[in-house]
Amino acid sequence: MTKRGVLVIEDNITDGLVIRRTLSKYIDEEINVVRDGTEALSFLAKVLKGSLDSEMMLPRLITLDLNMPKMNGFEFIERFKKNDQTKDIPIIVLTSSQLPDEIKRAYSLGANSYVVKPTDHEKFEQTIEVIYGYWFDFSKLPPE
Amino acid sequence: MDNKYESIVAMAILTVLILFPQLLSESSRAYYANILVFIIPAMAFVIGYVVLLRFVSTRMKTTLGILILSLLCWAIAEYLLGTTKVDGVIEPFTLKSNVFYFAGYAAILLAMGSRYKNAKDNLNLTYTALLMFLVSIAAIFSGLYFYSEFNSAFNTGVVRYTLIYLVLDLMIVLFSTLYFIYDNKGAEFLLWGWVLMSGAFFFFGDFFYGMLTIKGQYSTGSLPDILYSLGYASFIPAFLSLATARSASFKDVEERYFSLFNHTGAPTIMIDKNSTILLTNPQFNNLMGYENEEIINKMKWSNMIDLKDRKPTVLMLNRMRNVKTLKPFTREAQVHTKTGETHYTSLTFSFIPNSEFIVVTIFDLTDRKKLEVELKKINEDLQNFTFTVSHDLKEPLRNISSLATYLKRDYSDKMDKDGVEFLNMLVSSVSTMSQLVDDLLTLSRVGRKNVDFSFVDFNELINEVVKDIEKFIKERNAVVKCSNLPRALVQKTWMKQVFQNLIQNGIKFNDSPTPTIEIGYTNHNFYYEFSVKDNGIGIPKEYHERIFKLFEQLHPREEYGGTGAGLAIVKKIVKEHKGDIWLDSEEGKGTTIYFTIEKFFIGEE
Repeated sequence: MTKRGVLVIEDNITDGLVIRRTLSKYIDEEINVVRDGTEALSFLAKVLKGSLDSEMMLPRLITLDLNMPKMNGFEFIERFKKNDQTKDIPIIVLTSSQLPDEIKRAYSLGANSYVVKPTDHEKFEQTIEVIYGYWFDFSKLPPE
Repeated sequence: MDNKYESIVAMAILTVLILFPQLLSESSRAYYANILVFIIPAMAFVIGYVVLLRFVSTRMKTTLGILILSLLCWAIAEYLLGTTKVDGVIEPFTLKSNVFYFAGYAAILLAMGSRYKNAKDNLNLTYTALLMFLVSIAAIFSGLYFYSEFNSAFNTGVVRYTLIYLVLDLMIVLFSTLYFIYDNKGAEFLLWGWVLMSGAFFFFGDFFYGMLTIKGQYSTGSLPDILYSLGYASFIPAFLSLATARSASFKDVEERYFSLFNHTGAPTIMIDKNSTILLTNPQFNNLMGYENEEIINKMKWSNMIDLKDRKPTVLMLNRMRNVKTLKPFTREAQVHTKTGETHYTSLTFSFIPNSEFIVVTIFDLTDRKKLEVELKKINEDLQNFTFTVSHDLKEPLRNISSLATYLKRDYSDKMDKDGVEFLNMLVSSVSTMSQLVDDLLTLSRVGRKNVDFSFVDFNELINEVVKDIEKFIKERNAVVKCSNLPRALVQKTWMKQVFQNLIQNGIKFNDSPTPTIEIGYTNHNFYYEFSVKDNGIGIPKEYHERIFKLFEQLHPREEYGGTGAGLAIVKKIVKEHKGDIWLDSEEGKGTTIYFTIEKFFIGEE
């Protein structure tokens, strides 16, 4: 299945907005924002079943907040990386938490990168641009 | 032995001594009388000695030893005398027997002197001394009354010997009398009454012995011998009462010390070098739940100390003993009671000089420890709270910042001048607020034990800091100088923060065209003292303490920026390194901030 776009898993509406707005300046692909792990999994399940009306595809990259209601980020990474169809999609953890234990846990569950959200908006925008630059411009993502 | 009992014993011995020689047949009387006169009091002394041993100190035993020695001397003297007499030859003043008599007197004087010296504080001797003095005067006068009869027979030599005895007796009486007068305090009337009586008996015994010998009327068992017996017998109660008076007083002092030991309020024990418990006070028994019989000489103190504290404590004790320091030392340790309860205690070990004994005083810190743990938890909670709150504050702040920025970017053209200005103020406020939150977060993180201590070269550390804030330094045309700095055990990240804050402050609050920062240090025994000196605007004296408080700013934010958390963060980091911070400043000339870090501190637990 071909992969396109970015899935933003983020419970903070404004942060979700900023991520989508900033990324959309650079990529001309679908950027979907979901509120938590459960929503993300059900979205992915629908894509895999092909039951969505539009031609939704699996994302090339996922940004993930850790502290979310219902299903938190860790649980999501665990499930996501267990699924053979999705496990090669890179997950960028994008969160305010910088507790060493959480960073360690995220990586050991299979996160591909861990980025801390800066407090300041300008820096936050820059951070997202750097993420774009690194993952889309600089690295080669798994082929579509 | 109390005085009543003692008097009865003395009277009984006296009666036997007076009557016994009279009961013997004429031929054997002399021999046995002389022996028995000494054997009986000697036995009485020995029995008394054995009884007294239970109450007396070592010094006392020496005195009693001398006393027995004197009795032995007298017994031998009398024996020699007696045997000579039984042979029918009247030779009352043999050299051999006299030597022993003198030795006996000397010993008894020595014993009395030392006994008295030890006991005098508890005796009142004034009246006795006076009485004794009067009696001795009377004895001298009565001797003078018979002087004419002496005079006629002076040449026989017997009188000379008799006079020697008389002088000797007088010496005993006078010596004791002077002793009492000299001290002018002292004895029980009874005690010295007995001594006095014994002296008088000897005196008159010698007197009549001399008299009768001159007249050729002396026979064994006659008046002089009876007087001698009485003299010796009187000594017994005198000595017994002196000894018991002494031991009673000694017991008194001992009791005072013992009650002091028993009522110190702190559990206290005495141990030997193997840590065996020799003595405990009731507070100790209460604390540990043991009875005296269970522990004294049976248990080792070290076994009551918790396993993890035991080895270091014992090692420390041994080391202190080996270096022969007599300084007490204190350690905190957990101890276990009989029922297995754990107490947090502070143990103070005091070494008793010239012995292997150690006194251990225990302070129960359990309640304090509980409070400490509680306090620590509250502190941790507070720190976690600060951390969480400041963390959670960041997110909405970022959101406000984002939204304000978008508003400004996308809708500026739809707003008037005021609207754009307000939006700018909003963005600036948000940015100050996020700086504050960041500082708060930093401050709350300093307390968390999440940074390891490592050996850090401070020269490199300063270089890194300077590199981090290179732009800031260059913009202000500032210079950072540093002398050769040491290597020290610190939390590197935090130490960098300290220097970064101090250097930035020094450059920021500086009107000089070339702000200059000089970093130096002084090496002390247990700590390093660092100094960060600037040529800035200086700090008025009244603010020297205040500037280390959180969010305390001397200057309006608009002028110099900042949140006022920088020095609070620095102080907290320095405190985490068990150090201290202070400053020296002159307005208009510059400020030097000093701080110390402990050399061998590697963080808590």
